Amino acid sequence: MTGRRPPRLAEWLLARLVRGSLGGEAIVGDLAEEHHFEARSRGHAGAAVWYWREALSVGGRVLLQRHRPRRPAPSPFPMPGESSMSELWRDLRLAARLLVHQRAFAFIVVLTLAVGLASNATVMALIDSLVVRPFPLRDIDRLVQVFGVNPAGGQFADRAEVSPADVVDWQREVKTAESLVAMEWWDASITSGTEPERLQGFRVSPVFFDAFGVGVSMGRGFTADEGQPGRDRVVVLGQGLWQRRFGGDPTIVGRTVPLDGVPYQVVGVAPAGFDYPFGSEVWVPLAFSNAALEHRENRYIQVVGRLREGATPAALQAELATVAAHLAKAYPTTNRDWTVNVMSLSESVVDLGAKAFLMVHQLATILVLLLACVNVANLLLVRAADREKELALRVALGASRWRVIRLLGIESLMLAGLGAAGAVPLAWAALAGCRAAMPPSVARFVRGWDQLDVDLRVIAGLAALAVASTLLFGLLPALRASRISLTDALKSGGRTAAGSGRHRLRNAMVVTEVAVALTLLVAAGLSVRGTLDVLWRDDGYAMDGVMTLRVSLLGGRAENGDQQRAFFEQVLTDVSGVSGVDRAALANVVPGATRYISRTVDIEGQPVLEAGRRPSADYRVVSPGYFDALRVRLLEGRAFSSADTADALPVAIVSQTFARRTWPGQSPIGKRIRGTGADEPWRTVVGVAHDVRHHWFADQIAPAFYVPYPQAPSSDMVLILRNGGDPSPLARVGRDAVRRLDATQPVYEVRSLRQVRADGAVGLWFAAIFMGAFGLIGLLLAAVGVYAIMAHAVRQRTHEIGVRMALGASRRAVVGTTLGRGMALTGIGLALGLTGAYLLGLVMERTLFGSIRLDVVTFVAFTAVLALAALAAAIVPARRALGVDPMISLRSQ
Amino acid sequence: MISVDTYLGEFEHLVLLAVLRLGAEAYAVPIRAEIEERGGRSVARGALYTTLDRLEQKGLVRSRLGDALAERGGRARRYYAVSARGLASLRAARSSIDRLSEGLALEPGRVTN
Repeated sequence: MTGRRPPRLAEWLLARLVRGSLGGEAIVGDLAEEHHFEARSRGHAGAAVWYWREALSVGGRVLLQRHRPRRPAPSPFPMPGESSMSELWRDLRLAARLLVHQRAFAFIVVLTLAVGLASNATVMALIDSLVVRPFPLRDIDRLVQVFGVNPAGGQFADRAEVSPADVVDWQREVKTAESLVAMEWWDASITSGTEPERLQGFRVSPVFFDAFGVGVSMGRGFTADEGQPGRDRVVVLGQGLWQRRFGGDPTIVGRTVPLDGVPYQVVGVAPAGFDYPFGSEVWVPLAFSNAALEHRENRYIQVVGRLREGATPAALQAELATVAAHLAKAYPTTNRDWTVNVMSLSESVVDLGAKAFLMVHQLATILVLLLACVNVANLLLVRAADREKELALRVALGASRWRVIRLLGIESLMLAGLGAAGAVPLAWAALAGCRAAMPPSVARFVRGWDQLDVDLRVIAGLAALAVASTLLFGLLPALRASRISLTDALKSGGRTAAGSGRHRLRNAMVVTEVAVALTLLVAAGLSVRGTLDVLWRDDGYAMDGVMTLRVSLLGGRAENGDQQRAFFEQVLTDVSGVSGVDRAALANVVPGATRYISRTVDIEGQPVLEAGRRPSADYRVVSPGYFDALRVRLLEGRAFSSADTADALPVAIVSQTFARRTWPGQSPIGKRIRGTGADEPWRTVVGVAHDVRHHWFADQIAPAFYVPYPQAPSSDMVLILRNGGDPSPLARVGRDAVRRLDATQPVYEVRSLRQVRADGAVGLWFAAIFMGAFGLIGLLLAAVGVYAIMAHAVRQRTHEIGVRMALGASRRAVVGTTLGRGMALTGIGLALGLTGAYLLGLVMERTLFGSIRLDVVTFVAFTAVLALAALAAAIVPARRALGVDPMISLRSQ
Repeated sequence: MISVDTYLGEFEHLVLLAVLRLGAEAYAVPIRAEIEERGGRSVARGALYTTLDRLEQKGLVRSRLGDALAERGGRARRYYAVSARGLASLRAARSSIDRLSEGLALEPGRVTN
């Protein structure tokens, strides 16, 4: 019996196809009945074939019939009495059909717009995450950072830190802030478990977690009495640290963990994602000792305030300024002329210059979008020329000008919408690349980097830009198309009727393309060149083949100078014997590191200034081999030697800038200086070293002085190892040397000096890559755009060229006029572009920390590149003009 | 009096006549066989269904479902009958053809006028 049944799949399919039609069920039944007969005459297989054929044919036919009357092609003309909504709907459907029919055209337009919009979205997301709302905190508007303002001036004068005593006085007086939180850097090593690990931590006022409004996810924050010396051995762990080192142990609260060898009781775990400031993972209460409170000249505290409901940063600024003025009067030696600077926390955590830096890039992306829009506008104009007859017919049949504009506008809007949709994944990928490319050691200093994403805000921005660009690229072609002259367009020779207005528009587009592209290209060139300059610049020391390892001693090893000296000298001796190590040295800070230590100095024979105004210099504690290991040249005198022991004459080496500023025109050798402090000895200057630029972005090289390690031992030093080539094996050598001596001492920040520099300049890298990408996109868009415009111009002039050639014009003359016109426009574009590039270059010079220098070579080189690209883009259509057969072109009339 | 304002297509005309001939047995399978046999032309099933559908929409035929039958996989037949309006259309078409044909000799080989 089953053999007589029609094929099931075919029957099911047929039932789906005819479902809902009038005779639906009966049709399936009829075919089953006929199949019954067919099976007798044709056999089983033949009947199955027959059934399939009939089922598809009947089903298809019925389906078509059912759908045809309900969905007629939208009429391009309004029906009398039609509502404006359904008119709009019709326009939408018409536009959609057009895009589907002209897939290739739509694809190119959408791709162009997507690239332009994605560039913008990427930089928008950067600005949004890094500048607008770097903190995902709820009460972020009420949080402020309070800086001191150094009357001595300097690059970062208005972001100075504050002395403990000043903070305590502020805390007592302040009314407009609920709380002022004092915070002190506190790197700590955790030594429980196997491998010691260095953690970023901060000592903070007990009110810290309340002030930020985040609380803790487990246990409690600090109580007020834990801000007293002796009661401060409690700690709040970061969520990540708790997971990583303690496996998320729920019984952690109440246990003790050893930090820097001292037991701290865990009282709480911070909420997930909270790592302020600077990627902190441990927080302990900040308790000021009496000694700390006595020295108002030691400014090392950062202050964050939580404003009272309704209070403004300006109110706090005014209030604290009054307090500061009182303090300046009461303690003139340390506080005279020191004032305060209150900034919103969001603003203060933004990297200095990041805003301007990102704005420059946003400007560049807007130029990229402008190029994209011009290209698209040209494509639409070309197409509008091809559609002239269709549009003219519409107007002739009674469509109003407004309706034609609206139809074209809807098409443009649809294209922009698709472009924006395409931009989302592109921008997402770019941002994912950014997140992945940023080294974690830097990312923790860039607030908001980890939250880079294409979120709703960015998408809203994208949508706004898409609409704006629609106006830009769609309006002009639409207006132009709506002004069609009927008779001209419908005449068969309509193509030659292009008016002078169209020429002007096309010329303007070529000029814009070239000008904008040159601006972008030069900006890209300046950015890339500036970055390479910084990375390969001679900053006074050799960074190749050098590995650095930081060691912070704990426990007994750190107890006194003798212990520290003994440990580090032993490490030096050990590594010096290892094959593959050419030079070994110690320093408290290596060039390029984020950490840096400076001290105020007294100069013998010069009046001692009051505390706030003493000259300050970078303070470097180094072993005798330091200058040799980093190839820092000595300009005068001698380097340190093994004879400069703890008991020998205290000596120092000064940098050339130090020497020039302190003893202009004199030799510093034999002069004496000392770091400010009670126990500091006078040191005799024995040498002058070449300047070393510590931070690539420092606009001036700071003066520096060096003292020999045995005379100023410290528990926190960097081991510097040099070999002939690739320094990476040296990391193992250094680690092993320390571990052999004492496996409980943490070794961290293990990086080659080249890496230190690269990490430090990673922002510049990003700038260079971004600008480079924008420049390339600009070049590509402009080349394609100019080509398209020129090609269309030649196409429209086919008739004219034919006439010229028929009348005896030489090929040279034809190419000459075609090419000449293109090159004249290019020339104007280049001139405008050079002006634009110069202006943008000036802005970049100011915003990128002096890494950018306007150099003639870049300007000339890229002008040439663009001129060649434009020439190439014009030459192809010009050659095509040669191929015009006069007879054919005339006959096409 | 039923006003006849519905134009009959040629195939619609044939379908209506076939339905009329078959009487109570008029469902799609015999209708198609009838047209193929007497009309001397092949009929696509799909075309027949869509035409029946259209005729019913125009009110020229009525349809009813019969009983479910086992050899049809448990599905009913849909029987068609010509409506009064359909009959009027057929008559109108016949009379206009008659009037137009009157006096014309259409036999092969004899062409007058």
